[in-house]
Amino acid sequence: MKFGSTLLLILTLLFSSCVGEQNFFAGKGPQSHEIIKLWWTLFGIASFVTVTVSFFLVRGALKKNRDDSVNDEALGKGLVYGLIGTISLLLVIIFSTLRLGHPPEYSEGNFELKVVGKMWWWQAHYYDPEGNYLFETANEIVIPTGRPIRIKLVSDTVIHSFWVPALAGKVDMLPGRENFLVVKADEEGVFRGQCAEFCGTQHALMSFYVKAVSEDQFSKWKEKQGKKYKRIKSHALGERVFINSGCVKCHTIRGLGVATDAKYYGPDLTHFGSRSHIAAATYPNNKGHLGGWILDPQGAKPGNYMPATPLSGKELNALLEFLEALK
Amino acid sequence: MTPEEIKIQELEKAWINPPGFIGWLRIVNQTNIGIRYINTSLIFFFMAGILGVIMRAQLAAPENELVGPEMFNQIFTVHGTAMMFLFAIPMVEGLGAYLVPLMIGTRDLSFPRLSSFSYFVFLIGGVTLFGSLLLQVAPNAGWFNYVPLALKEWSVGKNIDVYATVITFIEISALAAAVELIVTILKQRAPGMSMAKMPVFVWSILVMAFMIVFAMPGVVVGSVMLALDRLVGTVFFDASVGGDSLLWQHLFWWFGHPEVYIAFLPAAGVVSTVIPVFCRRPLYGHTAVVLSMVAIGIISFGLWVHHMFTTGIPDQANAFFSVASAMIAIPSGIQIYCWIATLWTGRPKFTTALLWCMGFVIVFVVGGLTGVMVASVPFDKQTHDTYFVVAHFHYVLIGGVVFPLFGGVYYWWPKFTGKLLNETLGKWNFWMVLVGFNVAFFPMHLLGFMGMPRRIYTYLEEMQWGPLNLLSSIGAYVLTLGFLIFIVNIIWTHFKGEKAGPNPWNASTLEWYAESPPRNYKFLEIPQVNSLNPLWEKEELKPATIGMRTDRREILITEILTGKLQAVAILPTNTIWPLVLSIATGMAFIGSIFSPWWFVGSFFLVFLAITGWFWPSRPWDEGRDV
Repeated sequence: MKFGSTLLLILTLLFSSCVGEQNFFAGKGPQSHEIIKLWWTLFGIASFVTVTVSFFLVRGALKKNRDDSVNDEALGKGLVYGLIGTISLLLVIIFSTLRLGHPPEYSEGNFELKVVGKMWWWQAHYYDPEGNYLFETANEIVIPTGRPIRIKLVSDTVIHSFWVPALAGKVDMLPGRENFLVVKADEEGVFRGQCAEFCGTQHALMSFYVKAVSEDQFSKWKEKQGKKYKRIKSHALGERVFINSGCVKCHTIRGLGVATDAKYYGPDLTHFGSRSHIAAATYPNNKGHLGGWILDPQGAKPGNYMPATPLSGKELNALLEFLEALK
Repeated sequence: MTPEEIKIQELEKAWINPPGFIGWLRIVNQTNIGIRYINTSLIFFFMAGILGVIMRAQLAAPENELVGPEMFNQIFTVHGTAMMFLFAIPMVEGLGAYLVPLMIGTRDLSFPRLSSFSYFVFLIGGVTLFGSLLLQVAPNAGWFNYVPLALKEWSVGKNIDVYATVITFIEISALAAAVELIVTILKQRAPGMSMAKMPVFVWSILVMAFMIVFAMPGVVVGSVMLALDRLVGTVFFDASVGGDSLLWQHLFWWFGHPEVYIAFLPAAGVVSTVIPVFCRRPLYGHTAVVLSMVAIGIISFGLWVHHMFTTGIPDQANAFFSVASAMIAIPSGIQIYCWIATLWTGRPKFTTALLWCMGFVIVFVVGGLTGVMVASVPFDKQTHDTYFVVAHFHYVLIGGVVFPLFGGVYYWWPKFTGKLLNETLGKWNFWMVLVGFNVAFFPMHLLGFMGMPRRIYTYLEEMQWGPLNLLSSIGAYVLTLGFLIFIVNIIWTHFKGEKAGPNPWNASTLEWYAESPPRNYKFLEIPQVNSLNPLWEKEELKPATIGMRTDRREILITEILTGKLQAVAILPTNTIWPLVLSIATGMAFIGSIFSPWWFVGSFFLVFLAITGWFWPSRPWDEGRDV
C-alpha cells in the first residue's frame, strides 16, 4: 500500500513539477535534451529496483507461511540472480551515460564569449570569430540560435559555477584555471541561469539570463553593444550625479572619459538601459526597482559590494533617467 | 564469603571508577567513555537538527527575512559540519568503543587513557563549534569549505579559523579512536573467537577504523595547509601566485567521500546485528555481508572525484570515477539481499529496533538509487549542487545512518541502562520520523529538477519553488516532533521503564552475556568462544582460562587470525593526564585562531602533559590506583 501511494505521489509530483524558469525538463538545447532522455532511463531502473526490493522486504516480513521450505541453497541462487540483475542494470546505466549527454559538435577554434564569475554577478566578454576583443557586458548573455557557441569560463575571485539548466549542465569557474562549455540553443528564447557553487554571502541571488536570438539579431546586438556612450544634453545632470556620487568608481560607461578603479569593479553599464533586469537578474529593470536598489542595495541583497548612495529626489530622478537612456 | 564473592569484590576494586567530579574526569573505563561519546554526539545531533529546522523555516517562503544571508551561511555550515564531524563519526565511534570490547569478550579497550583523551578532544572541538555560532563567528563557507572562498582574502573574520580548528580536533580524536579500535579488535578477542567467528558489527567497526586511518590524513594535510595559508601566509591554495584552487577539493573529498561510508558501515553493521536477533535466526550470508563491507571500504576510496565532475576534470578521468561510483551498488545490493533473505526465512518480531532497520532498507534503497543517478556524469552536471543532491544525501545519511543508529539505540538501550525503552513510544517515534522525513526530503528531488541550487538563503517568488519548499518545511517539523518523542521516551523510561535482564532480546552475541548495565570488569571470567552466535549454542559458555589475577586490570591477548590465547596484558587505571593533554591540545588549536604563537606556547604544556602521561612508574601493575 505504502509503495503504491508513494509511487503515485512520485509520478504526480514529477509531471506537475515541470514548472519554473530554471526547470531542466524544459530543455531547449541538444545537451539538455539528451540528459532528459538519460533521466528517464535512470528513473525507469530506479523505480523497478525500488518496487522490487520493497516488495520482497514487506512480503518477507509479513508473509504468514513460515515453513522452512526456502532453504539456504535456494537463497544462494537468488543471490546470484540478484547480482546478475544488479550488474546488468549498472551496465545499462553506464552505457546510456556514455552514449548521451555529449557536447554538440564544434570546430576547435576561438571562443566567442568569455564569462567571468564575480562576487556576485557575471561579466561577459565578447570576441569576434578571429579572436579580437569586442566589448563587455554583464548578467545578460546573448547567443545566436542554431549553432554551437564555445564559452570560456573563468573566475578571478572565488569558485562559481555557470549553469543554464535549459541549455546544458553546469561547469565550474575556478581561479587560475580555464574551463570551456559548448552550448547550442535550438530555438529563440530567454533562459535563466544561476550560480551553482557556493560563493559567499550573495550566492543565492547570483543569477543571469541567456537570450538566444537569430544570427541576424545577434550581429545587430553585437554591433550596438560595441558602441560607446554618446552624451545627451538633457541627461547632463544625471551624468554629473553618476560621476560625482561615486557610481563611476566601480561602474564603467565606455566613452564617458572617467576611469574606474580596477580594484572595485562592478558591472559595465554602457548599455544598461537595454538590459531587462538589474542586480544579477534579481529585479526587473525599471525606475522603481533601480531607484530602490541605488538608495539601499544592502536592504535588497545584504552583504553585496555595492554601497548605498544617498541622493536627493531630484538627483535620483536625473540619475535614473540617465541610466535608463543607456540603450 | 565464597571464593566467587571474593573474586567479585577484588575485581570491583581493581576496576573501580573514582567518585566525585574530579574522579569523573579521571575515568578511563570503556563503557563510560562509550556512553559519553554516544550522549554527547546525540546532543550535538539535536543541536544541529535545530539548525536544520531554522533553515527550513527560512526557506518555507520565498524572499523570507527570518535570518539574513550571513547568519544562514553560518547555520548551514555548522549544521553540516556538526552532523558529519560531531554526530556521525563520534556516534559510530562511541557505539564501537562501548560495544566492541563487550562483543569480543574483553574487559576494556587496549589504550584506555587514549580513549579518554579522544573523548575530551572531541568534546572541546564540539563546544568550540557551537560556541562560535553563539558568538556569530561560526564557519560560513560550508562544511566542504572550498578555497579560495575560505582564504583570508575572501573570509576576513575568524569564522574559517574556527573551522580549521574544529576539524583538527575531530581528526585527532577520530584517529585515536580508530587506532584503539583496530588494536582491540585484532588482539583482544576472547580465546577461540577467530576472524571467522567475529560478530558482523565488530567487522563493520574494524573496516570503519581502517577507513579512518586511511581517509583522515587527507583532511589533516588539507586543514594544516589551510591553517598555514590563513595564519602565516603560505599560498598552497592561492592560484594568483601559483597555488591551486582545486587541490583542497581533492584532499577534502579523498577524506569526505570515505567519510560517508565511515558513518554508513557501522550503521549497516547494526542492521546486520538487529535483523537476525528479531528474526530468530543467524544472519543469512554472514561471509557475503562481511566481504561486501570490506569491498565498500576499499571502493569508497576510488570515488572522491564524483564530487568534482563539474570542475573541468577530463572526461576520461570522470568516466573512471563514474563507473567506480556505480560499482558501490553491487556490495550494497548483496547486503540488502542478505537482510531480506534473513527476514524471509526467519520469524520476525516487529520491535521498534527492527522497524528502524526495515525503514532503513527502503529509504536507503531510494537514496542509493539517486546516488547511482548522480554517478552518471551528464546527469550529475545538471543535478550537482542542486536540491536533488540535498535530497539524495539526506536519504542516504538519515535513512542509511540515522535510522539504523536509532534502531541500535533502541536495541542496546537495555544494555546501556538496564531498562527497556518503551515500545509504544518507540513506534510513534519511528513512524513520525519516517513520514516526516519523506515529506521533508522527497520534494527536494523535484526542487532540484526545478533548478533550485543548494546553499541559498532565499529565492525569488517567480522561481515557483515556494509550494514544495513549504511542504518540505512542514515535513521537517513533523520529523522534529518524531525525534522529540525519542527524548520523551528516554525520560519516561528513566522513571518507569521496565527492567531488563542480561539478555532481554534473547540475542546471540557476547555483550548480552554481561550484566545490564555491565560491571566495570564486564565479565567475571573471559569466556571461551566456539561459534559465531555463542549465546545461541546449547552448551553454557566456559571460562577460557583460569588463574587471571583479580587485583589488577588484566585482559587476555589472542592471536590475530585464530584467536588463540597468547598472553595477559595489564591495563592502566584512572588518570587525569588525558584531560590535561586534551586541554593543552585545545589551547594550542583554539589559541591559533588568534595567533600562531599560541601553538608554539602550548607546545610546552603538551610536553608537560605527555611527560606526566608517560611517567615511568606503573602503580597499576601492583593493582594500585594512581
